Amino acid sequence: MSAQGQGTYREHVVEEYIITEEPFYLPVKDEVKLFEAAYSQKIPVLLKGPTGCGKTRFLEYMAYRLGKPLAVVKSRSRKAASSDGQRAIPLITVACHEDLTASDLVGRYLLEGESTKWIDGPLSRAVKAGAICYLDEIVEARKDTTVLVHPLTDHRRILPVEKKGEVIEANDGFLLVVSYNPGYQSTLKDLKQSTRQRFIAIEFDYPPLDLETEIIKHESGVVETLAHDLARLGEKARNLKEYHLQEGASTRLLIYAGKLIVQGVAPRRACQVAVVWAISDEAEVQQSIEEVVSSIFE
Amino acid sequence: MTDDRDTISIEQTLENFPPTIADELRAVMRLVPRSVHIRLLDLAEEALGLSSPAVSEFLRTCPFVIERAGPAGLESWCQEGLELLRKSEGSGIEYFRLGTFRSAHLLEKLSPGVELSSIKKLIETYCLALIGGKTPVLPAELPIDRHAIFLPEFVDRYPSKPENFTWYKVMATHQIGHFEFGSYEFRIDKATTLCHNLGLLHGPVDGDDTTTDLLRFLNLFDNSKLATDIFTIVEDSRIDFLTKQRYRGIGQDYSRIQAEALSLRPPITSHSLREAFLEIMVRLSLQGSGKWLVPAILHAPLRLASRIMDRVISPEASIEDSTEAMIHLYQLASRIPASRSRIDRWEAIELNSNGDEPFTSTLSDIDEVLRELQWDATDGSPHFSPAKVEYRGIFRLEPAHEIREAESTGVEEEETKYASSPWPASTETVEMNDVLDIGELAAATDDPEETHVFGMNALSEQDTPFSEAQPEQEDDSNEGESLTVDSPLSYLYDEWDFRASDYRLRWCRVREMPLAEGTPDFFEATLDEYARLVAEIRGRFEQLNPRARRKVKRLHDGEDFDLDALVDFVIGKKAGHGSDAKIYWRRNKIERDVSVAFLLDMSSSTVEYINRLQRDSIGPVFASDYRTYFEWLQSDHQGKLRPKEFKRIIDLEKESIVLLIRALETIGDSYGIYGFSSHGRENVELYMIKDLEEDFSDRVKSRIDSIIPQRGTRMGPAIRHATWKLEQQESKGKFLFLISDGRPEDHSYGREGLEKEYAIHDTRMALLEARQKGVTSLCLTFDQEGHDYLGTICGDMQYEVLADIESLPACLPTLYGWLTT
Ligand SMILES: Nc1ncnc2c1ncn2[C@@H]1O[C@H](COP(=O)(O)OP(=O)(O)OP(=O)(O)O)[C@@H](O)[C@H]1O
Ligand SMILES: [Mg+2]
Repeated sequence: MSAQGQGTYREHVVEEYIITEEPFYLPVKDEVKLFEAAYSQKIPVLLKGPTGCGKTRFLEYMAYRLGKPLAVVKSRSRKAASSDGQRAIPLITVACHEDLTASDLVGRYLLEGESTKWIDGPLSRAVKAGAICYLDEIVEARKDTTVLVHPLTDHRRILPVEKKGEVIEANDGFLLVVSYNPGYQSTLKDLKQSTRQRFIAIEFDYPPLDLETEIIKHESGVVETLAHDLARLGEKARNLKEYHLQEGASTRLLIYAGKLIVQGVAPRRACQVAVVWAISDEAEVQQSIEEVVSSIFE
Repeated sequence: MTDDRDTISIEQTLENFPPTIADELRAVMRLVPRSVHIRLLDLAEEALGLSSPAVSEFLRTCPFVIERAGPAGLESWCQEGLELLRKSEGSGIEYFRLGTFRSAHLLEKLSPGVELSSIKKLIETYCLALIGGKTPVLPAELPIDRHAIFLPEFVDRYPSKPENFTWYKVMATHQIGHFEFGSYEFRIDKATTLCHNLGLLHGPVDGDDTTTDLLRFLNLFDNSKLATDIFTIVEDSRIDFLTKQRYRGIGQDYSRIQAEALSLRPPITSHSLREAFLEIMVRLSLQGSGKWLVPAILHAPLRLASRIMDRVISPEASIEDSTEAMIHLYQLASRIPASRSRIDRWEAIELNSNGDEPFTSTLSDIDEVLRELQWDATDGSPHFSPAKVEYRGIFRLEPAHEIREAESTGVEEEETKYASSPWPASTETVEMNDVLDIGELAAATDDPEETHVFGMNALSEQDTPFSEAQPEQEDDSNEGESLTVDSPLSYLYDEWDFRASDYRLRWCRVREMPLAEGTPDFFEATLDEYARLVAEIRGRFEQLNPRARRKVKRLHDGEDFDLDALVDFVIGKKAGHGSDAKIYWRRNKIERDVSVAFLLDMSSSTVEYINRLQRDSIGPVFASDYRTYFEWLQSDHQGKLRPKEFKRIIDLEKESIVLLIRALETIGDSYGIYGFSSHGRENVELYMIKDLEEDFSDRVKSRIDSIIPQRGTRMGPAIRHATWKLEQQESKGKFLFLISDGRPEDHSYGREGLEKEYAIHDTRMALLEARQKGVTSLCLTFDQEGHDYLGTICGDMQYEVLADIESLPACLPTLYGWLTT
């Protein structure tokens, strides 16, 4: 509802989170340290990794950690509300898709009665507010949209607002973060080198067995042994990647299975609906994974 | 007794049969249970009324059918066959020979047993998930591969399919456990350090690199066979424990199968002391505790052994623990007498696992026990291995070095195909000996206990003498047998027999053949000759208008206004800002995701001139006898230049391929071009003009030059193989272009020689199969007469008859576009 006016039906694709308490995040490698360093040096970050492995969660956690307590910009009017002396870092997420235009990110004029009114897009708002702006699945965006971030992601740190004939200098707190899942995009959709080489890349993968056990346990509330078994199932299913699957079972799916089990669904059944079904439509592969499930779970 | 009466009446009935069949019946009756004899006679009689060759086939297959499906299964299976026999003798015979799909399929359904081939992929994927590396699953009869697991070809231990499947699963899980839990991570340096520390080994180990660490290590022992057996028992025990612990889901079935294995252990009576000792170790490895009657003198060594074995029954136990336990147990076992002497006193022993109470055995414990017993030096009696535990399959000692990562599918395919080739049956023990190469121990297999070989009959209660009557054991390669694969690039396909409305299994063999390279001249000359057409085709292809093309918005110019952009633009203008006038959209070429295979008829009949008039004036008309064509072709091809305007079908095929390549290179679809020709069902040849993976090059151009008419036209297998090739592609759209003279014919492509109908039906079926597999086909012919057949073959599928090449540009892009969008 943020930027809806008469004369246009377009909605801004901005997701906004209000994070009131510390998100649960278990560091896997040195990503926290790396991100902190990048943030203080204003180096844009690219998060690379398969779906559901914790990229979004990591960013929520970093936004919280770097600027606690965190207030989130809900709309322009509330921007000034990040007061009380502490530096809060909002997190603004934009899911990229192939029809995302520069105006969607930067802003546009809307008709208002007989006159027009300028509305900032999420990127402009992030730039002004000193937020972390997260462009999810950047490769999905049109090439001409992608290049828009170029002046923002080098030493200039400016956002040209073509329509207004202005440039916005980024607030010191601003950082651009993009995500990229190298798995299922075709090479044709690869990022342009000139875009790629503006980011440092932090690679994510599904957490190792012990960590993933702990994550599943924490997020779903299942007992340790079951969490461990779920993590092992994840590990086994991921073994099929490249041969039979596009993607392995994500941490997210394993957590779902855990949540179902907590609700009283039998473990085998929970895995069937949360994992087996979700990762493949090939009957034979499904059957094989079901055999793995029935080997692991009683 | 009724028995006698039956015997008498059976003899009487047999007299009604022709003598040869009566003999066959007598032979079969010796192989099958008495209870089915009378029924068997009835069935044979009924079949005899219909066809006597069918009876022979029936009798040959019958023991196998009873073995698989039992008497009730035989009844149903046979009734189905009789019904077919009434309709068509040929089909019925084929059915009773188990040579058709329906027949084999029905038998499979009637049998509670599970065949390895039907679950092989499932198990392979299961294993892949468990350990993350490709591990081929091979029939237990074939232990040749270094990094495979071995399962019996058929399991019918239990009365239902799920139970029999579970047996396979447990067996696979155990064997894959060796990979998962590190059996092959054995490192000789660690093990020998251990031996040095124990004072058992002096001097270095020879640095033989030809074998594995594990084998080298086991060969260090004086009695390496004994060392191997102990190692196997201990390691299997560790794997069992870990598997059950980590895979709780399968635990129950696993334990049940272990208990069964335990109940099948041979009694200890005839063993030497050492054999008895090993036998109890095997039992301990299956259960961890138990009460057994053993020679009293073994009590002390067994108690010690039981505690040593406890060591590997722990979640943390590694291959090093197994090694250490094995070294200790060897010290103990090698001193126990191996000769068979009378045992005076037997006494029950109860052994319990003391898992909680940590115990580290030392060599002095062993010495102490042995000192009391006053056994001295090793005796030279031959070593006898304990009977195998069947579910543990084959523990290959070789793959210690490396567990190879995934093989290319080609290689795997090859292995699979070879798996069906005959391989000398060998018991596992013999195989182990080969592997270990530790001298003359063949005697070991003479032990009656050793007959627990790996295989489907090994432990079944009643002996199963029918196994030698399996139909596939015949080796006379008469007309009607299924084929086997004989070289890496050959593939087997079923063929559709429309009279039986059933498939003949593994009926045709397709070979991939290289095509000699000529010169690129033909290619270039064709392009020159048809420069105008090339341009035209190209143009048409460029504007191919696939439905799924993507709309690109916000352009300066395009097909129509982009309303969103227009609104923005108008507002911008109103606001007094010179907005960018990118207010159009256009459909852009999408990244096409299409694979096409072209199948080019290279049969002798393509030598025909395209135009009747021309044909009549130039060469003889060769009805449809391709042999005459072939002869004529050779004389024709050797030099006599044809006037340009007289084109043969093959010339037009070649030319259109050239033009097509041009066009395809323009739009960038991936494509393969294969020529095909055949000489009987064993020799269907597929010439690689351009493989799907291959890039276009001068070599491809040169191969086109060498496309010449060959022999027959067995279209079915060629289509099936091209389909298979397309299936290997990941593209979304898969297309098959069949360019031919439209007349499938080949040596015995049909029941009675050149039976057109048969060939047409099989070709049609092959195209339908392709459609089912997501491959869209299009048939194209230059021969007006081909029309009739094509109509039948293609049915509702696309086909096109072209008068001449001039009409190609006009129709191709349309067809192609229609097909590929
Ligand atoms: N290291 C971690 N610490 C805590 N939770 C984690 C961690 N990794 C993954 N998770 C859990 O996995 C879930 C999925 O992660 P998330 O949504 O961040 O994935 P993502 O990488 O952003 O996926 P996508 O690419 O599909 O957006 C989270 O909700 C969280 O519960
Ligand atoms: Mg995410």
